[in-house]
Amino acid sequence: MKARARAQLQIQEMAFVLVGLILFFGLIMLFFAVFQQAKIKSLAEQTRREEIVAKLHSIVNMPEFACREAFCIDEEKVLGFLALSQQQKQKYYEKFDKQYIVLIKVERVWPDRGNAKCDTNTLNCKTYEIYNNTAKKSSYEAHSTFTLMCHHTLTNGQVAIVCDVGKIVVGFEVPK
Amino acid sequence: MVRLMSAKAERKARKSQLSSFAWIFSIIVGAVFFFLAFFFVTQYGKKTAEPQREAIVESGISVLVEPFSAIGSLVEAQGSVLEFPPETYVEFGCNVDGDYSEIKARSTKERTFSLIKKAYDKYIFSSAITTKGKENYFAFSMPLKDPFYIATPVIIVTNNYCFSLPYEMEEELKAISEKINLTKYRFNFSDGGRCPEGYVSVCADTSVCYIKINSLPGCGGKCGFVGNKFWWGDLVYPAIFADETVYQCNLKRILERMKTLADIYLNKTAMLEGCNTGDISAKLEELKSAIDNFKNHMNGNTLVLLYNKITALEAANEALPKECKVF
Repeated sequence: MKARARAQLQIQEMAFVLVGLILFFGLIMLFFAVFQQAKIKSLAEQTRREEIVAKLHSIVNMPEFACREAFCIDEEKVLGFLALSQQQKQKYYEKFDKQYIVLIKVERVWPDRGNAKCDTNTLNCKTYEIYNNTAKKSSYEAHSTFTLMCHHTLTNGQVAIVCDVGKIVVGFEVPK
Repeated sequence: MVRLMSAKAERKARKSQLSSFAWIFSIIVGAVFFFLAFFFVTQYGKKTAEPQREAIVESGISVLVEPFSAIGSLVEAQGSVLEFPPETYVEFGCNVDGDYSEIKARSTKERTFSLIKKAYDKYIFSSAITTKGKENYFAFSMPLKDPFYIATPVIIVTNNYCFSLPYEMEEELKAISEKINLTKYRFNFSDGGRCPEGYVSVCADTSVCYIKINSLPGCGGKCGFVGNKFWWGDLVYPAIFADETVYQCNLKRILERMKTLADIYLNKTAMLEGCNTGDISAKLEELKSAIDNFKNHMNGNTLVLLYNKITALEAANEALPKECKVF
C-alpha cells in the first residue's frame, strides 16, 4: 500500500514538473514571438521611411520638375507641367495615387514673396500645388526636403536665372 | 519461509517494474518534447523563409533601382551588384498602359508569386532570373539624355557576354563593368578573336555573331536595330541585354514620356520672357509628330526621321545662350 502511494506521488510529481516545463517553454516562446513581432514591425517602419525618403528624392529629380543642373526645381517646368492637358496630368495623378502619394507641393521659403498660390502664369508666388488628393484620404503624413527653386528673370533687358530657397513637401498615405 | 521469499520477490519485481515504467515514460515524454520542438522550429523556419526571401529580393531591387533614379541626370553611367537569395525565380515585366515595370519573385518550389512590386518611373531591362544558391548579378544604368534627360534605364546582366564592338562602346562597357567580377556572369572583350564557350557573342554591323548591332547610315551610325529592337543613343545597351517584349514595352513607355516632356518644354518655352528661343517650339512640335510616327510604324525610316529631329532639337538648344537654354 505504502509503495503504491509513493508511486502515485512520484507520478503526480512528474506530471506537475511536466506541466510546469510546458508552461515555462510556452512563456519563453510567447516572449520570443512578441519580441520578434516588435522587431519585424520596427523593421517594416524603417523600410517604409527609407522608401519615403527615396521617393522624395525621386520626385525632386523627376525630369518633369528638375533643373538642367539637377538637385533643384525648375519653376517654369512645374508651371509647364501644370499647364498640361487634364488627360496628361491624370496619368501622373494615377501613378502618384498608386504609390500612396496624396500631396506634392513646392513652397518658396526665402525670399518671402507673399502667400499667393502659383497658378499657370506667375512666378511671383509661394506655393506650387502639383498634386493634392488629401481631401479623399483620412490620414497622411507629410515629409519635406529643402531644395533650390530656379526661374528666369528679366531685369533691365537682361535675362538671368535666379534661384530661391524652397522646399518640396510630399504627403504619404498612412498605412492602416 | 517459501511464502516470505515469494512476497519479497514480488515486492522486488514491482519495484523494478515501477522504475522501468519511469524510464519508458521519461523516454516517451522526451521524444514528444523533441518532436514538438523540431516541428515548431521547422514550421517557424518555413514561415519566416518566405518573407525573408521577399525582403532580400525587395531590398536588392530597391538598392538597384532607387539610387539610380534619385541621382537622375547627373551621373553618366554606373554599375552595381544585385544579390538574390537561393532557389528564387524573379521575373521582370512591363506595362505600357499602367506605365510601370513589374518585379515578381517566388521560390522555385512554388507556383504563385509571393512578391509582386510595381515600379513606376523605372525602366528595368532584364530577362528572368533563376537562382540555385545565393547569387550576385551585375546591373548598370545609363541616363537617356537625347535630346533631353528622359529617364535612367536599369539593365541586369543575365548571361555571359563576349563583345567585339567599336572601340568607344567597348571602353564604355569596360568602365562600367568593374564590379562584374563579383557576380555570376562575366563580360569578355574578344578584340576580334574567338569567344569563350558559353558566352553570347555581340558584334556590330559586318561581323557574324549571336547578337548583331545594326546601325543605319541615315543617322551616322548613332541609331539602328538589334533584331526587332530599334535603338538610338544609349538605348543600344538595353537593346543588347533585354528580351524583345520587355524592350518594346519599355521603349513605348520612354517614347510616351518623351512626348509629355516635349509638351512641358513647349509650355516652358512660351514662358521664357526676354529670351529669343528661335525655332525651338517648332522643333519640339516636329519631335512630337516624329515620336507618334515612330510609335505607329516602327521601322528604319521612321527611326532615322526621329533621330534627325532629336539632333536638330539638340543643336537648336545648344545654340541658345546659357541663360536661355530650354533644357
